[in-house]
Amino acid sequence: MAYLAANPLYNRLVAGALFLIATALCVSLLGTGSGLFAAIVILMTAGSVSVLFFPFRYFGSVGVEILYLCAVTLELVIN
Amino acid sequence: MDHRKYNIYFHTHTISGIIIAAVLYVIFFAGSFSFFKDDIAAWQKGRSEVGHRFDPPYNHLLDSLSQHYNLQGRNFNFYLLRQGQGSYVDMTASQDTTVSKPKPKKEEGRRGRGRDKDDDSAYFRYHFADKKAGDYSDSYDMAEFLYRLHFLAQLNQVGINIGTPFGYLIAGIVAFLFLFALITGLLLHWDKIRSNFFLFRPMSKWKTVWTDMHTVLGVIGFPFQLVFAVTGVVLIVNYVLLTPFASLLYNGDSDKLYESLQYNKTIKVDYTYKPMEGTFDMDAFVSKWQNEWKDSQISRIYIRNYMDESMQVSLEAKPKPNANFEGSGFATVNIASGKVLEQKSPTKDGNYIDGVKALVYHLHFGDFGGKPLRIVFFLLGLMGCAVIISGIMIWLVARDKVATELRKRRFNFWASNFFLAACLSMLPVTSFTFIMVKMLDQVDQSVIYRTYFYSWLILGVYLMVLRNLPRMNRHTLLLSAVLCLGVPIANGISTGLWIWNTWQQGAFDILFIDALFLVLAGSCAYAYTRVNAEAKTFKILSLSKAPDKVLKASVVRE
Repeated sequence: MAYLAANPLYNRLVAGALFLIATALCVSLLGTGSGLFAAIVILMTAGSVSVLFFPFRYFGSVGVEILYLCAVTLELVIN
Repeated sequence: MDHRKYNIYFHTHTISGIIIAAVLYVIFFAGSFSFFKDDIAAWQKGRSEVGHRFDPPYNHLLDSLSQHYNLQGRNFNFYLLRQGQGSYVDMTASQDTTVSKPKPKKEEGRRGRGRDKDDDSAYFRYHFADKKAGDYSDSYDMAEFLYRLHFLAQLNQVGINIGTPFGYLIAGIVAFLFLFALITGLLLHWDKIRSNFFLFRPMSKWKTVWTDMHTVLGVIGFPFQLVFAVTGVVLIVNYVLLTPFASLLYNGDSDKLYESLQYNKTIKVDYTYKPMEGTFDMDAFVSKWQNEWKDSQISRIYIRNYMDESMQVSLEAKPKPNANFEGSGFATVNIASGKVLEQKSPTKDGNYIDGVKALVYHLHFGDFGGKPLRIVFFLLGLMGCAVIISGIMIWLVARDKVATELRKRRFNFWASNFFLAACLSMLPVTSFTFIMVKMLDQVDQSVIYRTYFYSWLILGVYLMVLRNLPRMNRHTLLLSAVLCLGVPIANGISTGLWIWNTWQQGAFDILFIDALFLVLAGSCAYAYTRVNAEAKTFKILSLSKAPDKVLKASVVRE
């Protein structure tokens, strides 16, 4: 993480790769049209939420991991 | 950008924005909750629709109707609900004048929900699971209320007659002005769009906080908001957009235009006065077509000249979004001969109109990715609310200057005070109404109207009387935390559907609404504690007398 933070280019490459993987997963789950639109909407939400809450530093990496686990659990159980 | 252009964009953005701010907030807030319309309906009725397969009960419905009416020669329209759990049913008088005499057609306005019917026709909602019918007002719930509030349908009833439904007109104008505000906002911010893309400085001075929040959330969520502005205009005031085309291309016959756009389907079948031999098994008929269109869902069914030799049944279907994002299908069958008169596959024969309509509807309703995507849409809707609130605050603080005349500053404050009171009171009022619909014995449309609007009025006036924006914020946060927490508790007390019970029963739609309000309660409580502990001082100039230079500031905390 520290290495990535120190190298913006790698950082961007990793972010881009993760976005492509997420988009591919959306497309495989929802179909081409729905998946592409879903990916754009999710990107907007992630961007808005990150920008809005990041400066407050309410969540550290542990907090984000707990949130992620909660979301995955809900997704698996409810869906 | 030169000054002239900048000023044009700036003033257009400011004026269009401040005029529509409060109404747009109502639209965004109610619209965000409307993404969970089916869940809210299930929550209020205490009847989960998750994972249910609804066997077609049309034969049962027709049998029941036949005990009260002679069905020979009647037309039926079935408008199926999205989850397939029920349908609105429209039954006309018989075409057979020996059975019933059709009444002279009245002057047609726009057809309203729950419209009146004479004794020989009927319009009702039919629920498939318990095979019960109810009229529109009785089956009205918070889901329908919030859904219709998001395009101001309730305003249609205020008695302002201008030839078109007043609420829809206001909603359409607001959506149109929103489009202006969006585009001019983007142009205003264009030069800094790259450098300030992620810039939010909450620890800076208040004007910077509001400006950053407004621009950053506005820019990142711009595509989403633009989509809602455009699709909102198209959905709510399409008759305004389409009237010129109807005049130009269809000699003023708007029905034909709507038919070309695949909104209406006119099925004219001459009545023969010869009863059809044999019986008609509608359940089997619908099941057959549902099997044929496996990746689609039947959305409408039209029956013409029931049990006459000329009887025809027409079905419309929409593809499931994961099978095909766009498309619509239909089939019309002559029942006596079994001949398919016309047919279009929902998944294969998509045309340009299907594509445009799919874009408009799917992107507006967020119904193409299941519940996770609805949650994402909900969050983006709330971000829209944040953009509006921060816009109002910018408007206030940017004009709170010594150089501004006292009367103008008073007006600015009271306008902001009114807008914020109306906007911020929506969450506590909504959760209060959710509690009340569970605690009251009889809940119908008028009860929901009275509870919601009177509590909104009382809380709104109370918040305005405070004349103190930070206190207003704290009060609404505290009230929201308490009342949102009350929603799952009220549900548990009144129906026994506590969270752990709905979890065990797999009633995830009911559980979801309880969980949503718990999360909202937790978020509001957390925000309340942080605001009390950390918020910096918020100052506005005194409104009691005109300043010579800088007079005493009324200091309040946020």
